[in-house]
Amino acid sequence: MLVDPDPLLLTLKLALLTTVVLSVITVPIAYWLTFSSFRYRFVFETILNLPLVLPPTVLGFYLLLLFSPNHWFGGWIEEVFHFRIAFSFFGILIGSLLFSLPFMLQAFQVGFSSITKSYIETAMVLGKSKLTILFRVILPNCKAAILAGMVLTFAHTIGEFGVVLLIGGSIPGKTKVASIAIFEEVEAMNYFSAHVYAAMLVVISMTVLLLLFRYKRNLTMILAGKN
Amino acid sequence: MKNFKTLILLSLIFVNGVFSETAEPDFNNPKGETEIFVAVAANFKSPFEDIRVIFLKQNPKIKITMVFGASGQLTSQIRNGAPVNLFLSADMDFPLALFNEGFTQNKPKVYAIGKLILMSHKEKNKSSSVSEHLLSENTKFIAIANPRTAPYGRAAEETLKYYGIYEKVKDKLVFGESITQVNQFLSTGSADFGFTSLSTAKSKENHNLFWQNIDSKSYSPIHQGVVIIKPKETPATEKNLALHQFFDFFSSKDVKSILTKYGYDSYEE
Repeated sequence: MLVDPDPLLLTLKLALLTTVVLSVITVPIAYWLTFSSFRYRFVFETILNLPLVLPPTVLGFYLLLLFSPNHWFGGWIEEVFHFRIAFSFFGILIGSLLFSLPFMLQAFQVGFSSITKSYIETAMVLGKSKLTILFRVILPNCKAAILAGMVLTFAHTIGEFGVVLLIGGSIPGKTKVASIAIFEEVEAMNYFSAHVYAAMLVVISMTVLLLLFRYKRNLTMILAGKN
Repeated sequence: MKNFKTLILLSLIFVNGVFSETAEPDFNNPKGETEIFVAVAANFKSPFEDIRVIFLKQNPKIKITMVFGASGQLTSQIRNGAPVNLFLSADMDFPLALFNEGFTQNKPKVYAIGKLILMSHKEKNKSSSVSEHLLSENTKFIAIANPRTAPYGRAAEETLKYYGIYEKVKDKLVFGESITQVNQFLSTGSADFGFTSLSTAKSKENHNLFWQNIDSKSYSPIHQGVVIIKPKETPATEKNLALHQFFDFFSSKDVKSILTKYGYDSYEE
């Protein structure tokens, strides 16, 4: 029996996009959380890290309500863009961005705060702008952390289930990702297909983690040498 | 970099959580009554609670403990040794599978027939036909349960094919993991229409403004089956007696009126 490759491709697409988008938007957030002297930034830190501890179904449930055309937000989107976020690839992408943000954020913050202060201070004395310091000093000095954040996000998105289940609607080619497909095959007592999808996910996730642990050691050593 | 290790460790713990199993029900029975464990499909929760109350009034010495869940999940729990005496499924396939694998004492018996309806969160024109509703431009998403696993999903698909509109509305379909999720899509208004059970419309929690019956000619009957599960050890005679008493109770007049109240038909052999 043939197994439909679509759910796996969709999972990879979702994981890849989540990783790329998150690596961009997490930079300013992590920068602010690390270097800002704002007194209540821990409140923002708490909110952004909530998906770490909450069940994904909580996030999925709130998103389902938010995206609904009966809610002011969902209704507004529908009116202006003639588009419903629930049941779309865009919808599950938003879900997985929020869900994986803490993973990326933690990694970036660790990286940012481990940079030797004198590098940044030297650059400041030389009159470099904050943006230049970010791109020429901070980011190049925490490649390991950035890579780790990306890998973790990628792996984490592959394993995502609850959020997608609640807001996706299991549409083939659009929102039916591999984890949902596995669930359905098991429910349908179709264990062969479930095995194929599951095994593929194990292989992909393991490869990704192997890469992380393999290079993490090297990169940590480089970093340690520099410091 | 220590934080990293912690982070990775934490993520591994999360991953592990996914594989953890549901705790089995507690079997302590301090009162010395005969206790029956019943696994019930979630869609039959409210009628079952009514049935239980009436049965217990007539048989005060019997205690009935219930577990609710999706039929598929309950089936795999039973397969893996969950100590359940009676299983009321939302379809015939799961009890039949259990029967064929030798987990049950009897062939599955139909205890209720589900009815399919079309439902919407918004007020809709009651005189329009099913096809008119679904083919309308304003209808963007139609929620049905997964036809491969859920009996109401299969029935919905049959109805769409019966009216010859399946191909036309195919791209509007969104799939709920079960009828419960279809109801979520409906009550949040995410889906414009949905095929669900009449029992949903009859339940107290239903706030949807529109529903209409689907002609029962357009889909094959949704039979819900019950089986007695083979125990691991031979049970006490009393328990076996109580079990069969409860099993037979499902053909009683009391149960029939509860079924009607909740939007099910009873099965006439």
